[in-house]
This record gives sequence, C-alpha cells and structure tokens, in this order.
Amino acid sequence: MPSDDYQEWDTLREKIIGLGEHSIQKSYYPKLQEQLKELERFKTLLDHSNDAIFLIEVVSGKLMDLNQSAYNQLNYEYSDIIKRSIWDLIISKDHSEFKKIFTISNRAQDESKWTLETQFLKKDGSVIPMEVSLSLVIFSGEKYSVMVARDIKERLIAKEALKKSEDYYRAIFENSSAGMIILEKDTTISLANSEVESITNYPRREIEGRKTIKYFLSPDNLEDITGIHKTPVGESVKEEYETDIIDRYGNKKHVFITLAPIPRTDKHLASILDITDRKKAEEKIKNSLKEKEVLLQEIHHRVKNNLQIISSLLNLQTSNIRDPLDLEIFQESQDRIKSMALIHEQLYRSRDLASINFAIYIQQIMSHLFYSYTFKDKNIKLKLELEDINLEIDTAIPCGLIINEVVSNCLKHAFKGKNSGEIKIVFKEEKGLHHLTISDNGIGFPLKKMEKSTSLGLKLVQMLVDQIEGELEIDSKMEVNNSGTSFYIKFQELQYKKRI
Amino acid sequence: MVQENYLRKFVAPEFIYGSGARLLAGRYAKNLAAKKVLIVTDPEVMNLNILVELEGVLIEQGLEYEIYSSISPNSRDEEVMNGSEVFNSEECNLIIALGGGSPMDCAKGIGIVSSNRNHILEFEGVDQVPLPSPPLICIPTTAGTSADVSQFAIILDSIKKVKIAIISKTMVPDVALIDPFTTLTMDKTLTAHTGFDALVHSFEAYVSNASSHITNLHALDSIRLISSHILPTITDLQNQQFRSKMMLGSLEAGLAFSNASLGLIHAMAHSLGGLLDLSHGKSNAILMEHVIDYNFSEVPEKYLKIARAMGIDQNGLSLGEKKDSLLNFIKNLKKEAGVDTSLKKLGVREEDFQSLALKALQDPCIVTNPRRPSAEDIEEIYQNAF
Ligand SMILES: [Fe+2]
Repeated sequence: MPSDDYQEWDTLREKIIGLGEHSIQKSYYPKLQEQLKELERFKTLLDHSNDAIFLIEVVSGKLMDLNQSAYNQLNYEYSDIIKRSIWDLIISKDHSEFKKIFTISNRAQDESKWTLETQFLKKDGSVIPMEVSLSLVIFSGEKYSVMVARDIKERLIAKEALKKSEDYYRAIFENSSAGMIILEKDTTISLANSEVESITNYPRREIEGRKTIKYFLSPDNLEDITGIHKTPVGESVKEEYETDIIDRYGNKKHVFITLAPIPRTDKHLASILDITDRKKAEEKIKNSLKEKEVLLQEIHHRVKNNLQIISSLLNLQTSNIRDPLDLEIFQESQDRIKSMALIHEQLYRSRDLASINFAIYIQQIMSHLFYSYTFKDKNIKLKLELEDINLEIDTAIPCGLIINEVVSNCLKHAFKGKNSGEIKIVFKEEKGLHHLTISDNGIGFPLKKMEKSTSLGLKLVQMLVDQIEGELEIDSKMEVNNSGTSFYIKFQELQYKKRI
Repeated sequence: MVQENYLRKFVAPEFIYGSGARLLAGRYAKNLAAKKVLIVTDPEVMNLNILVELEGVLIEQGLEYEIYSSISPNSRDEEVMNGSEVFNSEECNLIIALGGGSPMDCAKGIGIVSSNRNHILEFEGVDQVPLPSPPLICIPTTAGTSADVSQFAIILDSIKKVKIAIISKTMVPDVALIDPFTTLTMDKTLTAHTGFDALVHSFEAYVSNASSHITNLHALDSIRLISSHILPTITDLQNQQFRSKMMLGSLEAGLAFSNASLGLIHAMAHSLGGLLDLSHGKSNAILMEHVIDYNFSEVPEKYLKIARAMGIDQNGLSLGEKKDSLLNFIKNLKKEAGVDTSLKKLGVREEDFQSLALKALQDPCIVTNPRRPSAEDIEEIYQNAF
C-alpha cells in the first residue's frame, strides 16, 4: 500500500497500469494447459494401475470409460469395448447383484462402496474371476458407477490350496488315535478332536472355547502342566507329562500328554494318550514279577537250608566213623555242600536273585575253610586280590566248588613239614575274560602223578573247569625247588541256554 | 512528468455497445461453455423486466441458472463469500452480473474467490489475484461505475469498516454487454450520482500520472459527452438518445480509468464510503472541485483542456481566472443536478477527518494523483468540503 516512499508509489503505479509480474489480460489458457497436463498424468497413472477401472453410466449400463489395464485384461481394443454394455462383460448370473446396487439411490456426497466377487468375460468368452469394488457417483446430474476390478485367480488358487491343506491337517487331527487339542494362550481349549470326547466324556461343543485344560486336570498335578505357557513363544520346546485327568463322571484317567508350541503363534498343540489300561497291565506284571521274586528267594533259602541239613546229617554221621580217611571224605563233602550253600545264601540276599558278588563269596568261603582246617602248629596266611565281579549262579557254583577243592587240597597237603606259608587268590577280569589264580608257596606236588591221579578232588576240578568251558593250567615247582603250586583258570561267563 | 517515456498498456474486455446488446447474453454464455450460470444482481433489479429477459435468453440456449441477489448498495465481503458458496454448491461455471457497480464488483469477487479458493479480503491491493475468475459477463444497468470494463472491484471490509480496492487484470470481465436500454429505469437521483461518478472517472483518468494518449482520447471525449448530457438526461429520463450518450460517456470513462487509474477524489471517496454508507457518486461529487482546486497547479494545461472539452469559454482569462471558471462551472453543474450538498449535511464529523485522511493515503487510487498530498493536505480538503 502507499507510504511516504515515492519509490514505492512508482512501483505500485506500474502495477496499476498493468505492468506487474502477473498482470496479463485475462486468459484461461495457461490454467487449462496445466489442468490438461494433470489429467494426462492422472490418466497415465490409471492406465498403469494393475486394477481394471470402469466408468459405467447406470441408466444405460454403458461403459463410458475404462483404463488400459481394463481392456488389456479383457483382451479388447479400446475402440471395441468403449460404449459396450457392462452386461456383455459380466457373467449373467451375477447381473442381478450389480443391478441391485445400481438402483440404490445415492447423493452426490455419498461415499458408500460395495464389494462383489464375479467373473468377467473376455473377448474370447473365457472368464476371469475378479473382485469388484463399486461406488456410485453423479456427474452433471447423471448417475455413474465406478468399478475397480482386481484379478483374483491367483488368490482363489491359493485359497483352494490352503483349503486342501487345511482339510488334510484337519483329517490328521480329527482321526488321530490320540486326543488332540489346541490350547490358546490362556490355556482355553479352542479345538478338540473326537478322541478327546471319548477321553473326557464331554461333547466337543462343551469343550471348545469353553473349558481350559486345567478344568480336566486332577488337582494333584495341576502344577505340572500349567507351567506350559511360561515357555517363551517361538521356542520349540516339546514337553511331556504323565498325569491324571478327571472325566465328566469323575473318573480318574491316566494320560500321557505331549505339548508342543505351534510355530509363530502363542498356541500349543497337545496330544493326549489315555494310558489307563496300559498302566493297569503294567501294574499287574510288576505285581506278578514281585510274587515270583519272593518265590525264588524262598527257593534259594530252602535250597540253602536243605544243603545245611545235609551238611548237618553228614556231621552227625561222622561220629560213627572211625577211619580217618573216611572222616576226611565226609569232611570234604561237607565243605563242598557248604560252598554251594553259601552261594544260595548270598543269592537270596542279593537284589536280583540271579548273580552274586564273587569277591565277597570268596572271602566267606575262605573264612569257612580256614576255620575247618585249623592248624595249631602252622601259620598259614591268606592273601586276596579280588576285583568286584558278579557271577551268575550257573558259573558261581562250579567256581565256588573249584576254589573249595583247590584251597582245601592246598591246606591239607601243601604245607606238610612247614610251619608257615601263604595262599594267594587273584580274581580279575581282563579283556572280557575272568582270570582266577590260586597259588601257594608250599611244597608242591608231582605233575605226572596228578595226571594219573584218581583223587576225587582233582578230577572234580578238571570236570568243573570243563563245565564252565574254561582253561586250566597247573604249575608246580616241586621237581625244581619245592616252591609251591599255582592253579590258573581262565574262563568266560557264558550265556547258558535257558533251561525249562 | 515526461509521461511519453513510460510504458503504457491498454486492456479492455470484448464489449458490445448498443441497444439490444443485453439480449446477446445467452449466446455469449453458450460460447463460453456455460453449463450452469450464476446471475449476480441486486434486489432492485429483481423487480425489473430486464432480469426476466435475461432468464429468457438463457433458457432459450438451454442453460440452467441460479440467481444470487443478496447484495447491498455497497457490496460487502460476506456477500461475496456467500455468493461464492452458492456458485460452488450449485456447480455453476459462468457468472453474469446484471446491475450497477455493486453487483458487478460482487460478481468479480465471487469469481476470484471460486477459482482461487481464498477469502476475498486476501486479494486486497494491486495484482494480487493468481488465477482468473470463471467466465464473467457484465450487463451494466447504470451509466457510471464502469465496473463492466474495468480491472477494479471495490468491496467493503465489514469488520474494519473500510472499502478495499482489488485491482487486477484477471478481473476484467470477458464480455461487457453495454445496452443503454437498461439505464432507462434509473431515477433522477441515481442518474445524477452515477453521471457524476463517470465524470470524476474521466477527470481523474485524464490528470492521472499514468495516463496515456489512448486513455486521454477516451477521457476527454467522455467529459464532453457527460457534461453536455447529464442535465438533459435528468430532466428527460426516458430519452433514449440522452441515455445512449451518457452510457457511451460512461464506457469511455471506464476504458480511460481502468488503464490510467484514478486519483485523490476516489481515494477520499472510498475512505468516506467506509465510514458512512454513502452513495459513491455523491461522495465523488462533493469532493470534486475541492480536489481539483488542490491539484490544479500541478497540471494546469490538462485542466484547461478539460475546461475546453466542457465547453467553458476561457478566452482572455488569466490562469487563476481560468481555474475559477472551471471550479464554478462544476459547482453550477452540481447545483443543477441536485448533488450540491456538503459533508456536514451527510453526517460526517470534523473529528473524523484525521482518520479519513490516513485511510485515503492507504488507497491505491492515490498513487496516480498528479499531486502528491500529505495527510494534512487531505484533512484540509475534507475541511473545505465540510
Ligand atoms: Fe467511481
């Protein structure tokens, strides 16, 4: 506006005359061009849209305009399709749906939109499934419909594939012999199969979305399973529980539950196996086994008792025997019986009733033998180097007898004319074989004589070694320097055939 | 001022002058691609046959139209905004202004508000309108304002109580249909007021420091036509011959001032019009000889040519006597036409002079006045017209 400044007045005067920057005789042309350009840009935009866009005059159903994508998708040339009736382009069974929308009265400002799925007809008569978004507009008092259509062929294929895959997994889920449930984050059961119905005795509709897994758990082991959702989502940790659930009628059922998180969700899949019957059978077997164990224990006990009775009977009879040789035979027999009885005693005390710790056994039999053959004038030492080895009854009895025979023979003969001596027993395992060595530092004895020996003791040893399929080596230094005898037996614990 | 060295421009709308021009409105609207026309007019015209005629020619062309007539004698900002609302909501695309200065200024305002989507007061000043208005056809019914050919629109800022001037070539109408027949309905007073407005347009355009040879031709011819026909017309309102001369004078005045602009009389009259709801023509008339008295010494030879165009015999007079004879002639003309009143009689108070003067200094019309006034100068002129 004018001020005191003459310069400013001059500038303003120039503008009033019409020499200002924007001052041009009124012309619409620049604006028109700008708007045409804008329209051109907009048309390009529409043409390059993937969606097919149609403008339809509602009264006539005629296609007043469409974008390039629209006529390309329908395989038409622009000039062939423009002004065509929309009813030529949509399969006839859907016409009524469109007409229903076309007859809705609307105002210019109404922004309602409708979405329909239909099939468009291409020029060659083939169809394209499309999703159409419809709106009604009014230009210059004339009602038009703007239709934006999108090809949904791919989507339908994907949908079909998804449905197939869903059916497939649903069949697996439904027909699993285990009860299957899907647990929501808050442990609500959102889906259950028919097996769940038979386990819980509830119809599905009373379970799905209505009950949580806790509802079925017996209060005793509620803790076990409710921790499941403490597992962070996404961690694929499978958890297994053996627990009890209570069915509709209050029956307790023993179940095996496997819980696994469903990837990329906060849900879990649980399979429930009713193992009540199996559990019962197991219990039965366990009980019957227990009965048998008791029985076996009893048998070992009785065998041991019987052996003791035999030993006692032999003892009683010895009072009538005068011949020291006979007495010795009796004594030997008693020792043999004792060695067997000891095994049975140890067996019925053992945990498994089938094998005994042979090191302990050797100590017991030694203490017995050294007691039997007490020598007032001799000092015989016993040296044991024993590994903890268990032997089953079939090996233990022959082995026990072997030790009994060898050691008692030794005690009787090896230290004749000697005041002291040592007996050494080594029992060890090496390279899968048992090695038993019984040696003394006594007087030794002639090997040749032994081969022809008819004494029961040595025959018995040989026989017992054969029985356990072992190898026997006897070494005596009698001929050289009277430096003792050693028995070395190498054997393996054999798998004996089952006896009936 | 050596005006020949300055660039000068001349812009005028396409215009048709003559009896029956008004009836071409339908054809022009059609040629300008009208679909729906907004007729902007005033309550007075609503009762006249010329509106019925206009509706008829539009219907003849198959054009729809809407009428907007809520316009006071001095068009106001909210009337422009309301009119623009009607234009948009009725989806009009062309405006026909039918009436005097007020409806035509309002129509110009509606046009630029609609195309630029901005409040009317935002366009105040010179060359402030970016986009031209939709096609505008003007059919003036008064012989004075010349808004039908000018780049001016005067709108009342109803809050600040000031008339603002919007000056832009984008507001020059597309077509002016200047038909003397439409002026037959004016009464004595209106004829006198609009006649003096036109006369002041020519005076100010002629002495303007932005005048040019072309504007001068129109200005002087207009002064000759109006000064010789204003009194006969007032005494014979139905004389078509006189009305035609007045209309032609007004048209030439419009062509002159639209391009050469105005001066101190209009600046001061606009200021007055903001304060009191006065007739624009009457305000001009009151101030006329007082401003000429003030300006005379700056461009005496121009005033002497004006005196000659008015047919005043100044032979043998000194310059001072010549000036007095011009001023006396004007005073006498005013008296005969019945517009010889004073500011006091109109209700202006002396204490208003200072603010009136400051407002006048802010009016764009003032920059083309041949003599640059101070605020005190303007106050003194108001005092003289008191
Ligand atoms: Fe004016």
